[in-house]
Amino acid sequence: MNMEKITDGLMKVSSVIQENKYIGAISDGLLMTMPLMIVGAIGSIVNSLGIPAWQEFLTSSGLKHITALPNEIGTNMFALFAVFAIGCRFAKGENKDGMTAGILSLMSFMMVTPLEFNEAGAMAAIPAEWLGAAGLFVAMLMGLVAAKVYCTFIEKKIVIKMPPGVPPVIERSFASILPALSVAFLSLLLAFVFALTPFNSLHGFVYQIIAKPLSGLSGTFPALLIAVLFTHVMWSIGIHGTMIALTVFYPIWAALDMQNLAAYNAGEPAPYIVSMQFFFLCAFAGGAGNTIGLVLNMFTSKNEVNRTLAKLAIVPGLFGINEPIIFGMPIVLNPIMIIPFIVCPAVTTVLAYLACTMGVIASPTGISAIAGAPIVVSQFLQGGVTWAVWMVIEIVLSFVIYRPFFKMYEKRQLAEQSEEEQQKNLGKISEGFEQMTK
Amino acid sequence: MKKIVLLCAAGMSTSMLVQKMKQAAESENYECSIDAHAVSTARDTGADADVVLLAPQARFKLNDIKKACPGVPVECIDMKAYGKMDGKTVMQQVHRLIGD
Repeated sequence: MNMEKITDGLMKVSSVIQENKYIGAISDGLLMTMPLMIVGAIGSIVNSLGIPAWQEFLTSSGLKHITALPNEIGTNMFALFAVFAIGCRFAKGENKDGMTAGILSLMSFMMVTPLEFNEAGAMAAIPAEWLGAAGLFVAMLMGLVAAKVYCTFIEKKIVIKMPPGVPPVIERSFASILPALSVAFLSLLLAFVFALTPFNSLHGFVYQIIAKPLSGLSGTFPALLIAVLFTHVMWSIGIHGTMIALTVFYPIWAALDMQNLAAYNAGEPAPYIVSMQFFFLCAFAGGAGNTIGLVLNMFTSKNEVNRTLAKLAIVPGLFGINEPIIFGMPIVLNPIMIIPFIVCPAVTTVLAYLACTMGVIASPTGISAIAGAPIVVSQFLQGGVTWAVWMVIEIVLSFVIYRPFFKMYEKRQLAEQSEEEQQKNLGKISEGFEQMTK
Repeated sequence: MKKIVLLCAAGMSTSMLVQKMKQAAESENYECSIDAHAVSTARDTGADADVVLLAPQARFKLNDIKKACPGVPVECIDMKAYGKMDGKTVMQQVHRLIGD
């Protein structure tokens, strides 16, 4: 098979996945909520720290209600933020006003969410049921629908036209009246229709028919392994496989992370092992491909080129950035190094999954990675001691798996170098010979 | 003062190259601003740039970025230069694209 053809084919796949503006808006929108997730993650750590004295202090001082807030808002109200961000991001991608689209998305989300009314018919409460992970799929759906309707109206210029001379600010606010009314009408219609079904609401329908089966499917081991393999096959031809795999998996896995986090905070076992958090635990010691073990091998190399590259790559590697190795060594299209680059993460993924199902390492907590924490420390913050220990084991495993392949690569590298030198020497000898014969 | 924008998945690995490019630009007394951003922000961060460079691992986004930054020269960074974080070579690419 022709390598170039394979590369071209995979490039096309990447473009199709990445250029899908709907999936893209969901992924980017969820990424925009990162500050919220980090506050939630740190909040969870503070609130659930397993030191009895600390917990006693929190309860006796009455602070427990306060320390629970960041995580409650970041997890159990996540869908509210997500719907706004997704709508905003979609409209921005279409070069339209993101803020207006975000507001309309949030409005439509609340309209399809069942609310509680008192006897006088006034709104009394917003049930929290659908504001967290369970409502995330409707958040994605309504975020896209509302933003799409808004963008279509503006694009097709179906807006109330103002006579010339009206200030642009006023014109703009009038322009959003028709799309806003249409989004509202559509949402109310959905609320009405789904209240008549046995699902009671759009939320109930989407959760039962889409979210549950999809979570079930993506929360399985084969899905995890496929994502890991796909990521690394892509990287071996120099394409950001993580980014492409996550475009597809992130929207679903984010929901699983949220459910795990909610369970963790309630002191219950995690409903899902396979999740976004677990994906990063499995195969990313020092970046995609567990390359930290390779870097350690390079430090022991006889060849100065490798040692120099290792020095450049080690610090970013501790923070999960390994482009210097992937492109600098390179691993890309390197027939020897591609093998461990794909095999090593597959092995660690299988082992991590087994260790977790057998209870050797802790269940996922859903706490998102805290930017700026190096490996091992980061895993300790997310999953405690057993996760940190696992990470050390993963580093050792990657060192061992990369070792024979690196030796083979180094041998070939040295042979090529000495061949170059030999040819140089040969050139000198023949030059000398020519001079002698002259 | 030229505005140079580098894009990769999250703007992390390109930020390493930014440092090296700044050193290279300083040593040749070239006045410019160099920043790294995520590809998803291209419309906001790259549209008014003098040149936009894309990290090789995100090269499947090239057409998207060209659309998001109309009229701006957009090119991928060579894999080797990227891996070695070779600021000098990438600055040469910048000069060629800007035409100075």
